[in-house]
Amino acid sequence: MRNFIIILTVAVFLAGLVGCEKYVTGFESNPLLPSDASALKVFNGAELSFTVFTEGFPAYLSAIWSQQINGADRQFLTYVTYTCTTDDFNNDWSTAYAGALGNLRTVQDKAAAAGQLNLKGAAEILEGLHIGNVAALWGNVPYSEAIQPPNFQPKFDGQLAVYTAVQKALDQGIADFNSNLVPLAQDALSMGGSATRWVKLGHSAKARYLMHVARGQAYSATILNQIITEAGQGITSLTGSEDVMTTHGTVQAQSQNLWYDFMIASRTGYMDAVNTFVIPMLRAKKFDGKSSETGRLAFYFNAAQNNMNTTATGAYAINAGYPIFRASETHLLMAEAYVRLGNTASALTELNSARTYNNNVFKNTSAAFVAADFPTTADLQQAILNETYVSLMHQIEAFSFLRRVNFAISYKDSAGVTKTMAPMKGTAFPQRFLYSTTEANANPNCPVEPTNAQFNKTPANQ
Amino acid sequence: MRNTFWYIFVIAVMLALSSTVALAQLGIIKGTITDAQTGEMMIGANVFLEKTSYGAATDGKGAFTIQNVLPATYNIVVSYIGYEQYRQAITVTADKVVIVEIKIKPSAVTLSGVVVTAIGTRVEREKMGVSVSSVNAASLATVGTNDLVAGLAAKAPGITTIESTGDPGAATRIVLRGVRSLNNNNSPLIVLDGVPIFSGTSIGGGTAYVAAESRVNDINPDNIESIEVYKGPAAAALWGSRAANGVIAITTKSGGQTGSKKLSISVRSRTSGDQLLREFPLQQKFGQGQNGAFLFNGVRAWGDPIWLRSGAPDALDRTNYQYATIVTKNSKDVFNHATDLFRKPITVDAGVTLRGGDEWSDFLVDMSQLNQQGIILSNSDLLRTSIRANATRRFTENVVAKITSQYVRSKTSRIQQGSNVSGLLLGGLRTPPDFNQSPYLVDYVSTTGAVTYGVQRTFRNMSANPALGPGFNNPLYIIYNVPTTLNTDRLLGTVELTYDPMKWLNFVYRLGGDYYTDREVSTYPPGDASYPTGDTYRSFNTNYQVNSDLLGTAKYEYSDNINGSLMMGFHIDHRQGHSISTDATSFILYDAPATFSNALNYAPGEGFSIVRTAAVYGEATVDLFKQLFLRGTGRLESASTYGADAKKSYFYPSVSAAWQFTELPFLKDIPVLSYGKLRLAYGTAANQPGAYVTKTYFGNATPGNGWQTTALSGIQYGGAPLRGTRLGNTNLRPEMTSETEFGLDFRLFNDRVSVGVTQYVNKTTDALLNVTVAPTSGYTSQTANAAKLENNGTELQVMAEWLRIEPFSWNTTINWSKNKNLVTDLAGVSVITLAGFVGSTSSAVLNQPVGILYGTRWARNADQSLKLDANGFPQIDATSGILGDPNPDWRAGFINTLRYERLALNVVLDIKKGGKVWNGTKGALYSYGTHADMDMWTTISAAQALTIKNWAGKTPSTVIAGSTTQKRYYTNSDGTISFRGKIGNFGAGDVILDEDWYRNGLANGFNGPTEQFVEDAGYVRLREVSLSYSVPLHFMGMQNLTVSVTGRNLALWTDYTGNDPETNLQGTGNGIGIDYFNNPTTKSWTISLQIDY
Repeated sequence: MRNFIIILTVAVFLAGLVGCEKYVTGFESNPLLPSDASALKVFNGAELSFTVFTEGFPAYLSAIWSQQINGADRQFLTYVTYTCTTDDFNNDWSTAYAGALGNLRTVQDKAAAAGQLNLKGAAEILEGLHIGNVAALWGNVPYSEAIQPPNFQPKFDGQLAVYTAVQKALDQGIADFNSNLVPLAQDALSMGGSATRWVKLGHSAKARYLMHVARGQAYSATILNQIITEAGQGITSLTGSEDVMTTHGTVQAQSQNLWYDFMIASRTGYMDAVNTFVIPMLRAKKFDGKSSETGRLAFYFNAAQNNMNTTATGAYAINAGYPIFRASETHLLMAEAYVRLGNTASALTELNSARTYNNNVFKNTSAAFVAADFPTTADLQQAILNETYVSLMHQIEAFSFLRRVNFAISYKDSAGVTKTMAPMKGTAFPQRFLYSTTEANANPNCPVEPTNAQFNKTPANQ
Repeated sequence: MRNTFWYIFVIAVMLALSSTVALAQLGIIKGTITDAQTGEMMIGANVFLEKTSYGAATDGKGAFTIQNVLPATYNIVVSYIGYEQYRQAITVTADKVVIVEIKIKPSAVTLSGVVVTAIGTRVEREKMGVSVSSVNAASLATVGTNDLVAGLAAKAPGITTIESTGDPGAATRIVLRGVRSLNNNNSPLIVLDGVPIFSGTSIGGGTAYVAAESRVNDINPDNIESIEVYKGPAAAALWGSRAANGVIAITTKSGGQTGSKKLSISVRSRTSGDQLLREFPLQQKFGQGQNGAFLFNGVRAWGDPIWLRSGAPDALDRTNYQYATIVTKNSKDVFNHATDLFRKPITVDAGVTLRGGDEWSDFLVDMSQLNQQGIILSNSDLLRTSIRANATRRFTENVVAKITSQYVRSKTSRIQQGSNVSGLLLGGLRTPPDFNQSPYLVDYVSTTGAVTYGVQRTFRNMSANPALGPGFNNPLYIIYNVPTTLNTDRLLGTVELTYDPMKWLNFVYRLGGDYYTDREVSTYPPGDASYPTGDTYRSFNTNYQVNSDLLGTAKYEYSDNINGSLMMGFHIDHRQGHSISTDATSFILYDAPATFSNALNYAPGEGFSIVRTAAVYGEATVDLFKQLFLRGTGRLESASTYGADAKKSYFYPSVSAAWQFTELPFLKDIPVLSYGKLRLAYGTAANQPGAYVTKTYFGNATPGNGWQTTALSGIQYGGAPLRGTRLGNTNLRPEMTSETEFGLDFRLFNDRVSVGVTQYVNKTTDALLNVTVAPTSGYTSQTANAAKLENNGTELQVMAEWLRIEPFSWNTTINWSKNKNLVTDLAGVSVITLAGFVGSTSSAVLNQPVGILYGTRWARNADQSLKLDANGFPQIDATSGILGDPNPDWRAGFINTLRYERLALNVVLDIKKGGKVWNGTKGALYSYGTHADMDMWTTISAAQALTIKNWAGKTPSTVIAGSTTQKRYYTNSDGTISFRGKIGNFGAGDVILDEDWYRNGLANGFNGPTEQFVEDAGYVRLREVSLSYSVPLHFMGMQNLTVSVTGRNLALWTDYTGNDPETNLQGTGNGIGIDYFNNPTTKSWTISLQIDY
């Protein structure tokens, strides 16, 4: 009996020893989630990340620092005084890289393997457009070594090198798309998958980012001519039919316009339009005798002109699309290039195209300018810059543009006195966003931000 | 599986009720137990025969009977709280009655001589080489919190509890000897009757939403016989990868014969009155508005001085509507928003216990119902109904079956808290004092007379104009219209079979099941601030776990001086959870019930996980010369959550030694040192990784940002998945904690004073961490075995009986403990956020204790002085830094018990020295101008008004000269200037601290550094006071009547300026020290009555 029990005990013990690992295997994978997804669907996911970046906080902050909206409460109140910390940029830095860029790379790899060059091209064009914004906002950023796990410490490339790479990505995207000009089956942006419209976006984006580096090249004829060439193939329709917009529905936290959601549901009272530069400027434009901005003012702002327009006809209606690229920007890029080349006639034509666009899209009733309206080339150039500032309303690009032109935007009030944009606090304008705490925390290559680093110019604007 | 539990439950009840007459033919022990000093009979003392399952309790006359005892020689042991353990050899012969008269001596040592180990076996305390804290279960039941874990506060050294809010059923955080994990919960494994149970939380626990409910609260404290606390791996290694945080072993009461009575009943009831612990300090002097002037719908309380108003009715802009726009604010009425949301409710807890048994079986059936009401005016409650049935049956001399089972049904309603426009205090405390929260719903009348029915009225929308949103919800609207409810049904129990084929051999098979379902519903009517079109969220969760253990123990006795035992066991468990939820928004009919069919949009969700563990384990003990006790254990274990490339099985050893040195001949009879023991122990245990983090998954895209948590969803865009931002890790393995402890226990002066001191160090290597990876890599985190942590601490327990002049006695227990926690490796990452908000977090930082407060701070020069701006004001630093340690320097419990005959007074003081809390509530209220500190009114001379500048760089004189309509500075008739604010000096001369600084500037929690709102959170708390009287009552079948009055949290001494320094927004999470509009804590009085028949 005694031996039997000892043997039995040992046997049970040994059986247990063998059975342990067998009992626990087979439960490693989450039964509810896939570890892979199709390129087309992931592309749409990446577009949504891109949307949240481009339409979300970076746009809000750009609009405050461009004096096109006002920060009214909490942290937004301090942004008005140019106060910010690295923590403020954690979410958007992650969205920019892990959300948008990371998934765009996945799409490119999968689409290339499957020979879906249209999808690969779209992903490349979106990557170029997106990283151009990232480089513009932060300056030197990781790119050549980004999204290459297990490299968790990508180096920071110089801003100008990133702009060069952006042109390459856009070129590659246009080439890939052109080699398989077939619409995308699904598209979260307003192109609805249209191949030609994606290619036009690629060209417009090229023009925009060439202009970003043109200042550093003293606006050389070479680069200005390149801009004109690219812009000419870009988004130019004066009815707005080629404009690239985000798309929205009416479901809270799922499809609503992000500005609507921010102002109505998520963060009521954080932003308004009190104390902007752009509203008095728009009001004053009528004093040139040819402009009427009633339509555009009413589109962006409420009747009292102290807040944004969130009604059904406004820019921030619950389901309104938000602009990624308007045709007016393309025309104004050409106008600026022409005027800097000394071709005032063509510059005037492009400026008037932008005004026609505004009449069509915003129900403005401005008349065309004629050469006599501008006694000097400098006057024409200033008018183009002023119009660019307004045309980029509430976009990240407005802030990028202002920094390139040293915030030299002005208007004449009813008394004919010139009002020039001035910093909202202190004597300096902000020049960039700060690197996120999350990057600084984990990547030793990330520069430590000194106090007031937001006032340091990025290389392209030095 | 659910059915299996029902079967167990039903069988238990049947066994319990069918206890039958026995087949007596063995020996009988009868006896009485009395107090050796007073001769008083001892009621309810436990008597048992050592190393057997024979036992009984004394009846109302101090008598007991143990029947059907196998003839042999035993040690009879008597244990009784407050008395020395009694032990005597006794020989039982067949068909004879042995009569014993036992006298027991009162003792300062209030510990039972036998403890239940982590794995569920019984061991004599004196043989334990690890420190075991036993908590007197009787004292838990009367605490008045209805929360088992909260009741442990201050009761033993090394136990840290945090009661985060006073909401009914809110989870209490418990950590033993410091944090050992960053990713995982640090709560100990709860082992109930030898089997692990679910002890986590249901719902809530984030920065916004409701306070979490703890599933430990399903256990009725009245059902508990004993609680043993094993604080770390050295004591708990037998539970392997589930025991790094220690084990709390709970044993439920069992039935039995009380003396000659085969059946006894006791009836109990407790009635408690709760109230707000402390009022939040708010100002009552300045009204709604800004810049010193009233502003209709103004979002701040920086308006005019209320005492300067005329007191006439407010002037409205139209007469057809009572709540029309106020043109001139005249009324001096003020309202206290710190108290107007609370009540003083009554909580009732009643129960009945039926106990019985005979020689062959015993049973206990207990039914109880708790109806707890919270202090919030409505929708804050907990209704818990539980039925427990425990039964034991001896089939033959060597086969015993035992079943324990409980069914519990609980329903709780909760009100949201935290950073949340539907949170109670967020809108509540921010409301200006001159705004009346009532009525919160009105029928809006437009200028043309059109009526909109039932619109929410808030201080940001005083007219209830439907065209404007509410801003923040009116707290009354939240209380009555935005409830969150959780219904739970739970069935849990164990079946244990014991078989002793030989005298030296014992087998135990134990199967435990725990199954529960949760149904969570939260509803926001249309017009709510969070969901303007309405929302209903419903989640259905089912969880179950099964644990199976087979143990065989062989004992050997080589000689009188050498004996020991060898145990081997085999364990498997299976834990499974499944949840299905739907969030429906946009109600079609605003007045219809908030159901799915009344909604336009739906967002479904689903979660699922299975975790399995399997192990073989063993234990060997050797007792030498009745003074040296050696014990070694080992467990070889596998679990299902390890990565494919990691090892599958891990070994968890432990060794311990106890040396009772007072058994040495030359120490044996020293009266001063009546007992002494040295302890030394070492052990390793672990935490398993969570399920499914070994792979990278794709999921529906729901990108968002810090302002809009979820902004878009792929399901609205034809389907749009994104790759998860957490990179899977195929190398994941358990996080290992090893612990060494060393201790000394001794008793002095004939056991009048007992001292236990323990020194320990535990180190976690391979700590699991969501390592932040640079987002530019394409991922934001990867779970990895990356960090290292350690805890180093000292625990001291002193129990003394100072005074005994019969019939009076005075006992004191002091529990003191100190733990130093340190993060020693963080995988190259400098900060890991555990809880809180951007810029105000509880984090893990290298070479700092876990939970350190980390956030924005003042910019400083190299010499640490403030870096001032041109106007002499400090500035905010662009980067965050360390702000303070929320972990206390030490904690102590100071328990005094005074007895006079049957009257006992128990006083528990809970002392926490040091530790910080971020008072985010105060930081926000500085901006809002409602905090009591913003009750400032300063008069300065005309000369000062010309020179001293405010944050905007303006002097009062320039402000006055610049505007004829400004209301911020008042020029008095004598030329002096008065204003709301004060004069400060940051090091560059006097400055004016006024609305510009507090509202627009950096002296508030939104715009300024977090640093300025970090406060010391040390406290001395009168945790419990109870007075009880027990009367022997032989009337109408009654045996005993006990009456007691208990007060909880009656007094609090602290420098902390918020509601309670113990508060924590994220409940039981690893991040601590965050106070941001948390629902407040309470104090209570309880009257208990128990009658035993």
